[in-house]
Amino acid sequence: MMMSALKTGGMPLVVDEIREADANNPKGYYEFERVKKMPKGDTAWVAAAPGKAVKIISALLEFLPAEYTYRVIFMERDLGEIMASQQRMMVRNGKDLGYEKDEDQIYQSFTEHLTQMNQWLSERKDFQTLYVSYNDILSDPLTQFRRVADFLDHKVDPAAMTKVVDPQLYREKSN
Amino acid sequence: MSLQTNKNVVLVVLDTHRFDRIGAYGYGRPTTPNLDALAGESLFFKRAVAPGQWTIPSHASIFSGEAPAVHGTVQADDALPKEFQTLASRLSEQGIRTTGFCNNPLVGVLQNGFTRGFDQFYNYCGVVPSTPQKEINDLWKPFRNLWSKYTQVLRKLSYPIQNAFAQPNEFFLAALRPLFVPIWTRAGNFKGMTARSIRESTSFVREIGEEHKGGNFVFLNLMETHLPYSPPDEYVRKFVPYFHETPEAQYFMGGFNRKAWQWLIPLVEPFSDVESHTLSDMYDAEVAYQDHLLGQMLEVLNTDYHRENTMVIFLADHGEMLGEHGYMGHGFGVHEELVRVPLFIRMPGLEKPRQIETRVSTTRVFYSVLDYFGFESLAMPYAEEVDVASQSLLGMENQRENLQACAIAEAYAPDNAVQIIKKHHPDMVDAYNPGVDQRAIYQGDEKMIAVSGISKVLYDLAGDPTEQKPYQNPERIHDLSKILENYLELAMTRSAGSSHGKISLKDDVVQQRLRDLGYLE
Repeated sequence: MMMSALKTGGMPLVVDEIREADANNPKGYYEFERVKKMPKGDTAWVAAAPGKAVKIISALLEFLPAEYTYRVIFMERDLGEIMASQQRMMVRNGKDLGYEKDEDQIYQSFTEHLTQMNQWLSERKDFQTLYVSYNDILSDPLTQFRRVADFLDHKVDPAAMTKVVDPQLYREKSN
Repeated sequence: MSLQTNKNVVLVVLDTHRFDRIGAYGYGRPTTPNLDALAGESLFFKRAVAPGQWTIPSHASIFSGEAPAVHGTVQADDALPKEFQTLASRLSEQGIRTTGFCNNPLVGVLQNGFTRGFDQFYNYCGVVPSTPQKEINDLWKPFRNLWSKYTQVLRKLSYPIQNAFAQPNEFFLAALRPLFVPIWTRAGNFKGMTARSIRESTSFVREIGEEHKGGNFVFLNLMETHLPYSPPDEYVRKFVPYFHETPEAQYFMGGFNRKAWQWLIPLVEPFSDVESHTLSDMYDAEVAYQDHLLGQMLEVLNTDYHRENTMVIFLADHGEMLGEHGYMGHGFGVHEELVRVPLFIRMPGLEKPRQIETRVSTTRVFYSVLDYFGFESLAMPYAEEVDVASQSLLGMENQRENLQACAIAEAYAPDNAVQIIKKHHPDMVDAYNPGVDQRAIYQGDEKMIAVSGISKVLYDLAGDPTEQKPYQNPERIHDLSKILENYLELAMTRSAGSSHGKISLKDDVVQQRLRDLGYLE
């Protein structure tokens, strides 16, 4: 949702549209496949990305090249909701949940990862981070997008960004 | 650091060469008399392990001294990051002449950084090979210069096209059609020119000896034992004696040589007995033919000058599956046929040959070459300085065996092979987990194969050398998993270039979850 909002708000995106919209993400993924190749050293594309937004999972942030500075909009959501959403996506995608018995372990690992990630971001002078709650956007989008606009030196229009918020998307809430 | 710039190293990579088809490793057929003779005068590593299961990660490790998890060069469209200085460039900048003779397009043609640091690199593969030029009289020189410029332009034009075929895309899939395979294997010199490359590299090495020109690093990659198999008839008659009288064998081999997609993926259906024997015996014939050709090189290396000044290293980048465990080729898995490889080093001053039982990774060849030339410590990216002697294999001449030493092999299936399976054989996905990384960790006679996020099994290689009887032992799996986890954690930290460390998702199950969701490769 944040990528869609940034686009609507006027921010250029780095996307390739290889991963198409589907039932899990009807409005599209707004992803850039080469992001996944960063652990293998493919970071040349970053040189063409200043001033643009790109979607990166937190585990890959550390692979961004050191010669740039970054502003990270860190999307936060209840971990239980995230895992429920992931499980439903996998079922829809026909993935075997052969390791569902490890859900507790995965929850624990994600929790540890987030703690380490927050620590890492706080120590990095080349990363400025704004934490934004997914649920807060749904309940009060304008306030949250104003925070984003402030963070991005008003390069996005917060009122325009609110148009993408579709409460229907909050359908993956865990029970 | 006082470098020994009067010394030489000849490093020969026997591409796709199984250890168990070499006499010195116990094979019963007379495939490798020349290699056996050299092995008998060498530090002979009985249990060497390749860092990767195919050309790209394995060569990247030999050239960089890093594990695949660190250098991250594991696909045909990956390039060795510039911060990983290659063996050739480290030598070249110290004034050592570095020369490559290469038959594998993945090493010499793709623009992946593997040729960095070579003063001269000859490619015997690809659409427009680049080979040493013979001395000719002055009358013909203008014509040759013109021809040379023409071929340079052609080569420049052809490289991006050949690079495009290395991508996991429709180009590549189209090229695998049986109609096109003879074109790129022959016109594209897919396997290079084994005989010519050995002949010309031998001349080069002979010249070094005759002129006592020390300070050379010579790299030779040989592809004769790679598919397709078409050894000279003399070798077919010797190693596949039934071939000419068995239509099924001829039909199978002719078809298999054209069906390149079958080289890349697990068996769609099991081989018949005739097919299995034909494939295996044709492989032996290629091994024997290559060994015969190597005789001329070894003859030169046996002259007094080279015995006193030249260290000779033979190893394989990986082996080959010939139907074992349902696998073909070298795309998938970490079974013995694939990641246990030949390695022997003959060095001047070696008092007596020695057979080494300690498990070693061939990544250490990088440090062994530098050690021989007198390098003492190395600056490595994102790490403390490395004491070369501690990683070199040369000191093992006088060291006690360490049978508890661990070695690790990593398997990253080539993207294009994974695509073939997903597109054309989705029924294989569950059985072979084609897109999932696999790793083998060895300690003593024990080996654990870990399929990332899916399974971990043990094998006792002393009692079960062909890995037919997987077993579980939670305590050992826990211990070996811990070693593997630490290895990957360190690798991730180093590959990220971050001293902060520990933020990566080290948990296999979590990584698998993110992969399943399409967030990681």
